[in-house]
Amino acid sequence: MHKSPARTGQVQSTAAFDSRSWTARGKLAIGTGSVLLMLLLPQLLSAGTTFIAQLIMVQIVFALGTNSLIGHSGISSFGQAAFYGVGAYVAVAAAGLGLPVPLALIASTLAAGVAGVLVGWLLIRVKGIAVAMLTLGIAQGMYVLLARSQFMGGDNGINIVVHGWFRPYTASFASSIMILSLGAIFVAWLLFRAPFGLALRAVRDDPLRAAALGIDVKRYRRNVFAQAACICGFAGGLLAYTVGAVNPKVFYFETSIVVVFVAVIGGLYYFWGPVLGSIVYFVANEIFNHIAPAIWTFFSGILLLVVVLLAPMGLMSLARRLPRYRKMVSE
Amino acid sequence: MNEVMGQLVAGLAQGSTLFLVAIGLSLTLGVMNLLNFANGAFLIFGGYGIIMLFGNGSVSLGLFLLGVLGVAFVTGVIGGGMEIAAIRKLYSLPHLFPLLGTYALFLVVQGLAIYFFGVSTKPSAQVSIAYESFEFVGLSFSKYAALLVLAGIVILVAIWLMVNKTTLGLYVRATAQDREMARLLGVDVNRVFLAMFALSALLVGCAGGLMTVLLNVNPSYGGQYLIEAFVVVIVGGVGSIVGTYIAAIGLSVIVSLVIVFSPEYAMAVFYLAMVVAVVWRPEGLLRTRGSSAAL
Repeated sequence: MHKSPARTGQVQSTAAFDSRSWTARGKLAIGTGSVLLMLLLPQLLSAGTTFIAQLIMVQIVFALGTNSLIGHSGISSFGQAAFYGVGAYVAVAAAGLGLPVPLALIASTLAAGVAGVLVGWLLIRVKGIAVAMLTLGIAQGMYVLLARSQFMGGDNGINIVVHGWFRPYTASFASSIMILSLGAIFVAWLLFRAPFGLALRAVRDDPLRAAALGIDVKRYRRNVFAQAACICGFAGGLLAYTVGAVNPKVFYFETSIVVVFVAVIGGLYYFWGPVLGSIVYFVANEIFNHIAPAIWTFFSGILLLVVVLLAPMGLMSLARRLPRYRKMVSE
Repeated sequence: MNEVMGQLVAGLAQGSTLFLVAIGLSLTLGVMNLLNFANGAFLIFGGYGIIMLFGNGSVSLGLFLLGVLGVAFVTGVIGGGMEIAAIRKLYSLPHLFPLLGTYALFLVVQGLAIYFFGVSTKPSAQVSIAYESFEFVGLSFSKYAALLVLAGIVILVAIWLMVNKTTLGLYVRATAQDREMARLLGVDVNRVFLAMFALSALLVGCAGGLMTVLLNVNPSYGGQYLIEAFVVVIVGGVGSIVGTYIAAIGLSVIVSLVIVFSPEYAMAVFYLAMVVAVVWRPEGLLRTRGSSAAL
């Protein structure tokens, strides 16, 4: 039997968030334009601003990986920092063994994927909101394990060694990190558009109906969990190279929650939501750090509260027809 | 031997305060299906409330306990206000949204604490009996630890009686089992939710006040205990009062004993126990697979 969910009209309608008006040529132009922008930015901006741009790109990849679970699959994972951290630490370890940047990043991705398979095996035992608590607990467990031991530098963390590529912390290195992030965004976008992504959104909207349509709900959920772990692990590897070091804070529960935060303020059900959310959140964070660091936490709380109360589908939803999506969510 | 006994008592005391945070979490989770991050805010209210009341002077036990009760009550009222003003509006959305609403409240309160008190640690009041001990069967025990253990047991019994023997408890159990059916049968579900939210705020505020004796108060005071409470609730079983108590005490005692042998890995054991518990008893310590009684 054909199991492809894309064959059924019902599943198709859940993908109504895609903007289908763009032509292939337009997409190609935007893709090329963004690569050029990533090449140009580090030349134009100061080193400090370039660093922030790099961090935002890495955060976007992390947020997209996380949102493929919480937004597009209805799996409330609040512990994606576990995979982000595994990616970062494995990159440092691989670089320590003398691996060049691309191989270290591949190692990050694969290691996080393996961790994702293991955690996924645990997760099928619990339901609903317990998933959020269990994943959060696992990431926090990694934090206390590393922070209180001497392993990989303990609480102080450890520096990464850059092998066999550009000289670290130059403009070309920054461009490379940002273009690699773009690549990860592109892969996430392909996965979102693929029949696999459509099926996941069908499962999110109505697991029973999706199962009746022939989608193996458990298998899809396990697969997307491993896939999201890979993306988050890749982002973690990029983070290690961007910052030049990694410490146990990367596993701390706030890391996991901030990434959900940015996905929500951008718009959970949109592919580009976490992208917009990351840019808004981290640019605002930077501005506050310069003018009024003491009130940033307060402000970020108010921002989240306002978004959740007034526009639960995020900033993206404001640009589109709000009532339709709101009704869809409240069902 | 004496060291082990000392650690055992410390574990019991830690576990008793952890139980207060975890039972607050467990009530909102079991009845409302709400993972309440605002508990972090209530811990901050409890901690800073005590600091505002007593500064860093010394205070007698009676006055301190009265202060803790007062602060807990105020926290309960503020919690109720938060539920009415914000969280109530989010119940119709998927469970992620009320959860994020409570996290936003946590950030707002943490932000206020940072703004008004700064990020540095505040010294807390010296309670007269905090460092006194008493002799029992030839061993010495900390009086404050004994007090915390007693408080934990009193609250365990009180909550159990409230849920199982009162009319409010009946409504609570009905709401936890089937919200819509309870509503149809005339239970004012909104008021049950408000009561649970305010009660959990009160309990967590109380824990926050009691913990000032053991911990330094700073704006991230709430965070760590919050996550540990999640672990306790997972291990004990969502909505299970006795299970939560056993998990809080058991995990804390295990951690305190492991500290004797391996201080670095003691806290990791806490989280490892969570993984073991999920594999061994996914429905919680006291439940077998398939039983779905809510409380």
